[in-house]
Amino acid sequence: MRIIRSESFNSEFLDFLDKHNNRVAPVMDKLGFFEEVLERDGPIGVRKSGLLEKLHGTSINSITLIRKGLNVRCLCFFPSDGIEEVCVLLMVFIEKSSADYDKAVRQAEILADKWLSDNKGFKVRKG
Amino acid sequence: MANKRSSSFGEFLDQIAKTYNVEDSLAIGRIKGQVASQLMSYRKERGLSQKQLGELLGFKQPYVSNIERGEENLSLETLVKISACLKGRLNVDLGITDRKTKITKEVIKYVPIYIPVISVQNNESSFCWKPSEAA
Repeated sequence: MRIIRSESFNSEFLDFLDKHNNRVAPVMDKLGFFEEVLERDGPIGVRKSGLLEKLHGTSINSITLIRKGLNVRCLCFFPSDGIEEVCVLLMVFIEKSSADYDKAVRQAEILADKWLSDNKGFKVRKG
Repeated sequence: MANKRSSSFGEFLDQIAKTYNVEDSLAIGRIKGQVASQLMSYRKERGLSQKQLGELLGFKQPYVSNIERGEENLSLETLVKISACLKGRLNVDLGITDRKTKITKEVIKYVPIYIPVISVQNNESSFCWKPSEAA
């Protein structure tokens, strides 16, 4: 499965690494794990591992990159054009409260809609 | 140390890991992913719970859960146990492609070097490869 980085993910991720360079190692460990399991088993495999959590009522999924000390999450979704399903990384954020989380999910939904309008032919199942 | 990837995202991770000098962390994450994937497939094929698989491996359920979540630093002993459980079918790519040059320099003197030899007898030539004396 192809993993695609959105522009917002790119800038937020690089910004996060710059500001929290002592957290780069655990994040890379987690992303290496995510990449490997996703390529081998698809989103179902990563969900089974517990790393990926589907957010009910939305098309957005959350990857927990760091849990201890700093709660860092990456939001993504899995659109398909009927031929291939891709994983689009939408954004990275630090969750300090549930309000941060709700706000990030709303923003991720907007980013997902924008990605879909920029990439005709791709659709995602809501639910 | 990280195993180089051909995918765009893999290359991106390789580049970040190199920049921040955390290539080992990325490689370890990928190894954890390989083990978790194979362990989950094995469990699914046989309809085992984490607890049942843990009993086969001699581990407690939370430990199996941690392996499948990529949150356990696996010792060689653990890898051997998992491999034995999977009947030796555990395949792990340790990602040592970057050390190829170093290994080549170290072992090159033990690798026989073959040189082409052309011999002519009775106006007929023959060709073969022979190990050089340096080898």
